Amino acid sequence: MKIIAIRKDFGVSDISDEEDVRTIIEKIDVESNADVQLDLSGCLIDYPATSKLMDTIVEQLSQLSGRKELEIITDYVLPMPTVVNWLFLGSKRLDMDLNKGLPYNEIIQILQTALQRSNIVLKITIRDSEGKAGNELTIPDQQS
Amino acid sequence: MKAFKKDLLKYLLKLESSYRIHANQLAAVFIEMAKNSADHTVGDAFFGMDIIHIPEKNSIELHFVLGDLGNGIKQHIQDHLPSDLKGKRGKHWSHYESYYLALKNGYTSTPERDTNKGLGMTIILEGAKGVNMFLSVFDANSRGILSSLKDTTHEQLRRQFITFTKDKVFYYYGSVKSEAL
Repeated sequence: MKIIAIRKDFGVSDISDEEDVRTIIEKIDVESNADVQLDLSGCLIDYPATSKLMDTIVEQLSQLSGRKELEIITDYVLPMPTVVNWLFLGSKRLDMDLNKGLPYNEIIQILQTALQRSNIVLKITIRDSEGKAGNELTIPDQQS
Repeated sequence: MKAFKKDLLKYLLKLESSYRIHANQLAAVFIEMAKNSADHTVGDAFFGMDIIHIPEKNSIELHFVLGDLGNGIKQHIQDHLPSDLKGKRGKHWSHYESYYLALKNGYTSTPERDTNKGLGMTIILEGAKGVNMFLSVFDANSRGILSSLKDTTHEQLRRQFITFTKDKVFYYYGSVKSEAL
């Protein structure tokens, strides 16, 4: 598994900043790892810059064959629908660039379709202040 | 805005090394407030923060205010209503009706701006709750205690807004308590 911890690996805490994200994008490489963990703990996120980082990783993963898994870890104490919306707003690769105020189930549907196209399973984990996994979401839902 | 964001994040991260504060989430809430302010005013905005040290409790209280000289959220929403709501309530349009729209996920009063996706007020409200922030907004002649909202229904909004002045103002005021590490 390839672990990309933005704050630790790049010394960047602001991935809402286009310039910082551009610098990260130039350096990021999932290589041939089909399993990637992207740790955004401690990072300031916002659209449209954060979704450009997401697009880069999804793009690189989609070049690999077979099933891929991307786990995104964040420490925002927010409801999952807000986190999902905030992380991917503006994403061209995941068809979220025109999204404005869609209901949560429609956002999930859009993400599911786009991820299935690239054979990627997305897991979002919200960690609490002690670093424990609190709230988790997997798209597509592995139980259905 | 960029300099404000960088300085704020830098300062909060420094504070995070000594106190149990959630720097990135706090910064996100303040930045959304500033962006929101920029949306409804072309005039100056201001931000102030006080850190009160409480040695006997080995903790701090962070108090802040972010305000501007614009029309405020209530008036801005009222001035930019979608065509189906325009003129519907005339002068009777109230604070809770504006905030009901502003707090609706995806609602934006400036749909023509590509960077505005209507998530700002949701991040302010839910982000504040997530860090146990006391948060109030002084808007036009009313004060609303946003951190006391149990949900964003009309009923809850009506309960949390009171008329307190004849002057027109706009600012957020709030506080967060935090223990030393």
